[in-house]
Amino acid sequence: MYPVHDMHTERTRKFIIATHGTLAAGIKSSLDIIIGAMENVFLIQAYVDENVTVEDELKAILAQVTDDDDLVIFTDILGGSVTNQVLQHALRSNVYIISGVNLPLIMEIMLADTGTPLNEIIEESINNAKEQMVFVNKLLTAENKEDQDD
Amino acid sequence: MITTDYIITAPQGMHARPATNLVKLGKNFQSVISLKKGEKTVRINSLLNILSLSIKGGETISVMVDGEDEADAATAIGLFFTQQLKDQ
Repeated sequence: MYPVHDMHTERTRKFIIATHGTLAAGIKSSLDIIIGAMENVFLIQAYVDENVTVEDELKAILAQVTDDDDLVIFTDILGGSVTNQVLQHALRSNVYIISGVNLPLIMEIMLADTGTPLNEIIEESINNAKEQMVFVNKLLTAENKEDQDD
Repeated sequence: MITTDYIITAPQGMHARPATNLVKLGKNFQSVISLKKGEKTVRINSLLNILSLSIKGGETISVMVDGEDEADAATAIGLFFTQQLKDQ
């Protein structure tokens, strides 16, 4: 089921990167270097501080998300406890949850046109990001073979 | 539509940071801006599509700009490829 707020184009996009441990901060560090500092990016680093639960962190962030915002949540592992807790506590009509996060995927979505519906952006970005996973040695071998055949 | 060819002078080619800047640059214009390398054409509103062209130093690419503000857009894109890219 897709979120229903897709037709609104003037909505503010907010983002959460939610991971086991400090991967989220690592991704944010890379984003800052490549695309520059972005507003409305929140981090959840599960199990780093045993006194802070994912639910607590989600609640604090969701308090800053209005019905006029869209919230994209990137999680690390489908079936993992972080994704499961996000699903349990944050699933609502203006929330889009994407698991299996990687850097190309986040960059593609954060840089996407704000006038294009999020459902469309997410579908296309996931497809593009999947193509970023490449066994590069094999690619190089194939390219070398092509050069030799020419 | 304005079509211009550029030789990529940056030794590193079009890597992530300049590609990001190109996406951001394109957001300033209404025109549809596309890059063509070989047989493949992509719009510059997708970082990963730009990177998928694997544009390397020394290669030639074509830029197509189509829209009401195409003259201004083509000028800005021209500056990007002739000056800014090699500094990134």
